[in-house]
Amino acid sequence: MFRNYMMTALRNLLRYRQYTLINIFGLAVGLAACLLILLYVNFELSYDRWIPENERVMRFETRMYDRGGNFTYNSDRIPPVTALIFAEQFPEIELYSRFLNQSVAVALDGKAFEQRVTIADPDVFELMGIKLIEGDAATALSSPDSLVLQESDAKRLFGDSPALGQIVRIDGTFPMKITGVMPDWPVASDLRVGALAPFSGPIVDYQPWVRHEWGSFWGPTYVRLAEGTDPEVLAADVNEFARRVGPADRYQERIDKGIQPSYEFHLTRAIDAHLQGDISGGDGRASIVRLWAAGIVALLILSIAAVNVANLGTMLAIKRVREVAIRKALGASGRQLVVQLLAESVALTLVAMMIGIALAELMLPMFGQLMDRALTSDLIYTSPMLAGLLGGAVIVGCICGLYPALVAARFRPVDYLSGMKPTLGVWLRNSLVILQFAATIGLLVTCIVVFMQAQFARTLDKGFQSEQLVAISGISKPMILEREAALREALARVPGVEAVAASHDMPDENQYTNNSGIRTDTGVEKSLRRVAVSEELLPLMGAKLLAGRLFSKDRSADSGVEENALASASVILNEKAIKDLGFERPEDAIGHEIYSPGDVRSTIVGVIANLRTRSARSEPMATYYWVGPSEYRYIVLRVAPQNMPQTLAAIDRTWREFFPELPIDRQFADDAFTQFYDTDRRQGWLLLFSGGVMVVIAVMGLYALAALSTERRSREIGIRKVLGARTLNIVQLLLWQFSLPVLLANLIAWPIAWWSLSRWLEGFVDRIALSPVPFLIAGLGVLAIAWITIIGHTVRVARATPINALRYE
Amino acid sequence: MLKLHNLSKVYRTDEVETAALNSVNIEIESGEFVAIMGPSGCGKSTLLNIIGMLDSPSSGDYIFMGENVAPYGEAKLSNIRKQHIGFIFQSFNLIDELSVEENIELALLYHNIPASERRERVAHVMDKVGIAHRAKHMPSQLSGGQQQRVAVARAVVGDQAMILADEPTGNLDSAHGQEVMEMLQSLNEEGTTIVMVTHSPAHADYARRTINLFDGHVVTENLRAAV
Ligand SMILES: Nc1ncnc2c1ncn2[C@@H]1O[C@H](COP(=O)(O)OP(=O)(O)OP(=O)(O)O)[C@@H](O)[C@H]1O
Ligand SMILES: [Mg+2]
Repeated sequence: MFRNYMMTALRNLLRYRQYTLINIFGLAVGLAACLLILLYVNFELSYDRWIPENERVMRFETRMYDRGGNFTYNSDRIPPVTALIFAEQFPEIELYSRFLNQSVAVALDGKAFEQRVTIADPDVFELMGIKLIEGDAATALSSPDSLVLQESDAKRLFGDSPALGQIVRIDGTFPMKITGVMPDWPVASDLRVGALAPFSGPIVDYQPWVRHEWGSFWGPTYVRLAEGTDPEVLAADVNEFARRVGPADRYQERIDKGIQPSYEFHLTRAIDAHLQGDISGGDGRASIVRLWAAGIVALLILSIAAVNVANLGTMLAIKRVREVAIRKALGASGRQLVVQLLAESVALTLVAMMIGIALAELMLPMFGQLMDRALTSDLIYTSPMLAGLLGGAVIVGCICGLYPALVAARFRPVDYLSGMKPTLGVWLRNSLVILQFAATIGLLVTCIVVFMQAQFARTLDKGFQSEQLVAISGISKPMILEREAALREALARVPGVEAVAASHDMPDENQYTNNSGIRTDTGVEKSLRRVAVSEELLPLMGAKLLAGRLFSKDRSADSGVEENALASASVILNEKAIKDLGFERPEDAIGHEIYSPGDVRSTIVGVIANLRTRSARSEPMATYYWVGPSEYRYIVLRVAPQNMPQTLAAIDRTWREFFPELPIDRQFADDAFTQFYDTDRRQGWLLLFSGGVMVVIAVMGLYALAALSTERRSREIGIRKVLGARTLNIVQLLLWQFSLPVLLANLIAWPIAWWSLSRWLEGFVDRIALSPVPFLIAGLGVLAIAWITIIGHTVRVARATPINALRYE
Repeated sequence: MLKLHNLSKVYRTDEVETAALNSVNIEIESGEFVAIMGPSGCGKSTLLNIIGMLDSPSSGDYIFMGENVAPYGEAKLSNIRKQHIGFIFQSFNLIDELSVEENIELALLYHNIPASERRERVAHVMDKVGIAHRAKHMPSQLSGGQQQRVAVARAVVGDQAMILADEPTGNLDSAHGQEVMEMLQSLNEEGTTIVMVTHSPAHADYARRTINLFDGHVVTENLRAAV
């Protein structure tokens, strides 16, 4: 019996080869796309799940509040100095480690390598479940000069010779000893970890304040809580304790009135940390919303492929209705027919599943690159996944086969024999096609808008000229900072370098914000962002002056800075700061004085348009610019567009003369901007990928439907031609029939897409206005693709001589 | 009206070549009523299709209203066809998805006739063939005879000078068959040229002339004595 069904199934699939191919291929492509997206989603969800006891491992975070007690933003870190104190005070904190990244140069036999170093606490090994390959975890970080390398870094530095016990020179200044080699840090981690070094070591001296400053939030802190600890209760205790032992709150008098303190610590599960995307763009995080969206898209793709199978199945079943009618008249049962059609459909999905897995495997490397993730297909071959796929294929096969089977089984032979044409399932089929195209068009619109916004953000007026702007970072390291002025002079002499300056702030992945609470002579108190610049910087960047003047080297008073002060005698404010401080017009602020911590008095000499050095998601911050060499972090150069490679090489050479053991770390400002939108770009690629797959599948389905239905309408077409219809009339008729579902699909897709895209765009401070253009492009584009696909077939049918269709009934 | 000269039609399939028509010479005057008879497979339908320009001859000439249309392509033929020729088929060939009215209107749809005039003419022919009370019905709700009346109405609604009917009574009982024949006769009396294929000698008697085909040849032509 079973064999009989399989044979019949196979014969039928071969008989309608073209449609079988469309079905199998469509389903396989759909499944492959679905699998790839699921692998990506799974990868994002797997972040930091490898941490042992991960339900008890937390990241310490801080919620920030403004003067009025309103929540402003969440920082994913706490001041490093507090971690130590909390761990001592609270036995609930079993293990803890802080993670502070620093890029250093490791010199070995006169050769220098760039190396990311992560300053961590000795608990890190147990906390993160890291087993050292060489060395002893108990002592690996106990001496200040110890350094634990990752396996691949050890290979890079020492080749095959043993690394343990070797001495290297860091940043050309101090020696460190390799005390351990650990496996490479897992890719699926929210932490970006390099070689591990202890807090007692000299690298921390690059930012000495992290050892004692409560106001310095730097690098994440992870803790493992004792079993049974309620993180909320602990956080409350910690906050209470912190307010007791810590420095007075900035808004102390408010706390006394019962208003929210300016910050508050809380704990987030380490495994959730990665999914808090959208806090700030471009940090490679994902958001759970986006992952949900991706999962839904994956299911959509699979379902539109399944719709094809179901639709074609019914059409084919109807094609066979004559055979069915005769068989039924001869006594075959409806059940037998159902089983037969189901068997065919399941056979088809199983074949499609295998091809789909192969396709996914084939496309994985490319897809992984697109998504910027090291994806593996291991997940597919786990037994639950295989069982799920197999079960899923059978279920999808049954669902796809059931509908045509029921349609065919319900069909009464007498209807056929009395000359009625079977038209069952037309309504449902058309609705499914409409939904298919609605999903496709909706996704394409989204895709276009995402790319438009990305393009817009890239070309946004930044308030300065970012072209040909090169930033050298790492200037804040003490050994560089002390020779920074001389280096700038040398760089200014390099041919092709048009101007040189120093700054605290440039577009960069490592965002760094210093704040100063200030007071104006008009009595307004505000916290402003503090950005140190050399006198040349603002002219170099082409900052737009709104009132007053820029700093000038000729006025030595500008750069006068008192001991330990955080403002120079003259300061320049941006537009936002002026507004926040309550000045009506930029000119009104000129000549007024502000007082920064320590009652340091400065005069506002200029107001500039906001400089946008961060992603379009974040609002420009109210900022004051001062001449403060102690806080320079970048040397900024404007290079001539001609002979760029030579100029860059000369810059590198100059740097090497100053710091032979320190690799230069330079970046074009425009490249940094691009990185801000990495996550968006990833999202865009994912959408484009999904949209492309959906178009292919939907249009393939439409083609098959068109072919089958024109075949069914061939007699009608014949009659029309006999009555004088021209080829063009027939082509119009048929195209209209297949355009209608696509046009109706727009009506469903557009409002939904409009609504969700408006919501998405709200996440950007600077955003494009939603216009009908992307909607029209997607709708007409899909229509055009559908036309191109079916027009050949349609013309062929329309040109055929009508007699053949009319001869036989 | 038309003249066939040494006209042949050969069907080529993968293996066999069938000469459906072999050097046929026929002349049909305007206003004539011609019946074509012969055994099954002798080429009657083929002949009618060529006359109706649904098919092209393999060789020979076909002069239609003074023009040799044998070498014409599909577009030109289609133009002549829709202006001058109406068709009636054995199996009615109505479109199932369209109502009686719409089926008839279809014949005017490709003629650039304004909608109001179309409606008028459709109503007129429906009256003429006595199907007006069924205007909104679907073909599947009509009897065979009624369906064929709709087909006749559709064939004449465009004021075609010639009607080609391939076994118009083949699917009908004798009473309905006679009804259709009387309709054709009265059309002929109004001046329409009619060429009809039939197996029924009684129905052939309505025609003034009968052409007998055998194996692709014209064997005899009988003229019925004027009544
Ligand atoms: N499209 C075709 N391809 C091949 N052979 C054909 C084709 N159409 C008709 N023939 C052949 O041409 C010959 C004439 O066919 P035609 O249909 O004209 O016969 P007929 O006289 O109308 O028969 P009937 O009375 O049964 O309708 C037959 O032998 C038929 O098999
Ligand atoms: Mg015939």
